[in-house]
Amino acid sequence: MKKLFLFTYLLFFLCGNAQSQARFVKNEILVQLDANITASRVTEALSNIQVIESELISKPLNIWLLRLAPSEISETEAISELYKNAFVQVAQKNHIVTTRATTPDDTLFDDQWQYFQSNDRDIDADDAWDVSTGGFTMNGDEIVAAVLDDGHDLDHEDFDDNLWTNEAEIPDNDIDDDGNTYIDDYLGWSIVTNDDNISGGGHGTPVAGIVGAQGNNGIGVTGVNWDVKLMIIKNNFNTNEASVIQAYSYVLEARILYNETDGAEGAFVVSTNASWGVDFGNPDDAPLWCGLYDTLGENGILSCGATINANQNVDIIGDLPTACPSEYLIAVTNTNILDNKVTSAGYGAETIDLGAPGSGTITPQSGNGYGGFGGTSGATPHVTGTIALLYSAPCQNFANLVKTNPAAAARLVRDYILEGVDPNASLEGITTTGGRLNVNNAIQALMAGCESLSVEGFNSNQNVNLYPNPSNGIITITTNDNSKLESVIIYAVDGRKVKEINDFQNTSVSISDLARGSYIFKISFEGNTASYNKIVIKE
Amino acid sequence: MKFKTVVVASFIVFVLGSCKSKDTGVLNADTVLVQLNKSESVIDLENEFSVYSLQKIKIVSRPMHIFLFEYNQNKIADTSLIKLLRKSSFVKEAQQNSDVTLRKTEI
Repeated sequence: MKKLFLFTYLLFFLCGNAQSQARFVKNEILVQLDANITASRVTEALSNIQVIESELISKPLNIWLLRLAPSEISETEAISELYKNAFVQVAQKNHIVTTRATTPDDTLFDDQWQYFQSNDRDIDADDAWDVSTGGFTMNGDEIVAAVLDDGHDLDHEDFDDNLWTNEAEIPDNDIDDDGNTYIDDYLGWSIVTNDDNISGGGHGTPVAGIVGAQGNNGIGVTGVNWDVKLMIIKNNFNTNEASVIQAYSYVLEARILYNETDGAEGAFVVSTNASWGVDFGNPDDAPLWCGLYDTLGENGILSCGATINANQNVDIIGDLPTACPSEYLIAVTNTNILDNKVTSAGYGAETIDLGAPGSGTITPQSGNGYGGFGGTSGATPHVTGTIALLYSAPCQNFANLVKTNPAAAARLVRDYILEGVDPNASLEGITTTGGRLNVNNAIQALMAGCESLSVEGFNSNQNVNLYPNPSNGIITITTNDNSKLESVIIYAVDGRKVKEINDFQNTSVSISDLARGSYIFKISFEGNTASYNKIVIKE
Repeated sequence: MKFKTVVVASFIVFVLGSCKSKDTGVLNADTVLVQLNKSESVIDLENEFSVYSLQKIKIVSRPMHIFLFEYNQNKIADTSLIKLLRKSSFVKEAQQNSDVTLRKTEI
């Protein structure tokens, strides 16, 4: 019996040990040589190893990739042999590197095809979760996404503390404790009953679940954002535009208060979700509703709208809100498990921004259950949750920008999402981006651009003027004290330097050669060691 | 006699149906949304458009100074009223109060 135990233990140990070996590419060795020494100089001196190809993979570090002819000599033996050469500093195997995708332990996660599929027809959420799974900004702002819908199943198991509450209000005491003019708005707000009775949610619960059902809690599903506060604003649908504006206004007031009190009051709402609308609605007939998105955006809130569930060109037939022209509104259509636009989903080369998975997505249902959901109603909350997720990215410069310039931060997040889409043939030419949401691309772009968001620039650039902005050609840069330009470095929002200008005839810079989108101008003046950041939009 | 009963019954059904529609808020033709330059101008605007019985129902957005007004649709059509409202010095913008529905799931 004792022998059997020892044998089992030994077998387990050996297997475990074998599994713990890092995988590497057969017949390849990485080698760092002394400066100015080429690989051929080393390999010519090797007697029992045949190198069939060498490639310089790092010029400054003089690291080469050697491909060996297959032989009886193992990679480990080859490395030992290489170390005998005086020019070799370091030699190692070429280990296989894989992404460390983060997956939650929610029991139905495997059914959430939109986050991960082996054929990669997904939004790469698992890769994005390596960077962040939600929560707070780097400055400690608790991130809130507002779901404007028909209420919520307050007894659903998969939300727990992901539901926002107004901690400045004492519930059910008939007093407006926080003085925000809404009495007893503790759980959220109901436009229907003018109190915080937000229960319901035959449609709203699935929508909220896609935005932010609690992730990695061992039950149910996960939202695209594991850890986000969901502010529930209940409306009765069918409703009318007055109720819609009232609902948005609650959200707007909360964020304005947050901005004005530096986070002491209100709520840090960064995104809103509208999985409803007016089929064939004309934005010209709804200037107040459409204009609201600009006001929300100027205070730091991006809004997402679900377009019509019919194979219609919204550019022609109209739709509310998704044909509203606001730059702070992201209009979403619906894709399926095959990564194709669903036939019965709206589109528009001028109006609809991107596709997101909606059809047949598994999400919480009212009655404390789970089930399939769909339509543009299911697609849009993926974007709403992604916006909130990006605000939690570990980039201090971005978190600082959120504080100093909430509107600029919102526009950047929009650009990260829209420029990060996966190109998709079924959306090409019929949406503004031609692609489907990719959460990882968006958050990686933010992280890549993190450095360029730095500098006091965004705070102390009141004396630096750029105009016109937006522009499609020439930008004039002036200062109140007529400082002379020294350099302008232009970065794309993903941090790529796209242009640098050091020679100035006057105070103008041409951006006519740049593609449409947002850019960060890093501006320096002669005799001034500081640099100033400005966001410029190329039309 | 029988025909008369049917007509009366039909009329009653029609009236009840109309009342139900009104209760569920499907008809919004007698209301308009108005954004004022200043929230304090509500009474001034009501006075200016008293001929159409313009009356504030409620505020719908405090920070944006947007209000819901009702008016007498027998005296003026909504599109005509909105054109007039937009010319008022108290008004920044005005629009109809249309119905909004949940997005139906795909077919």
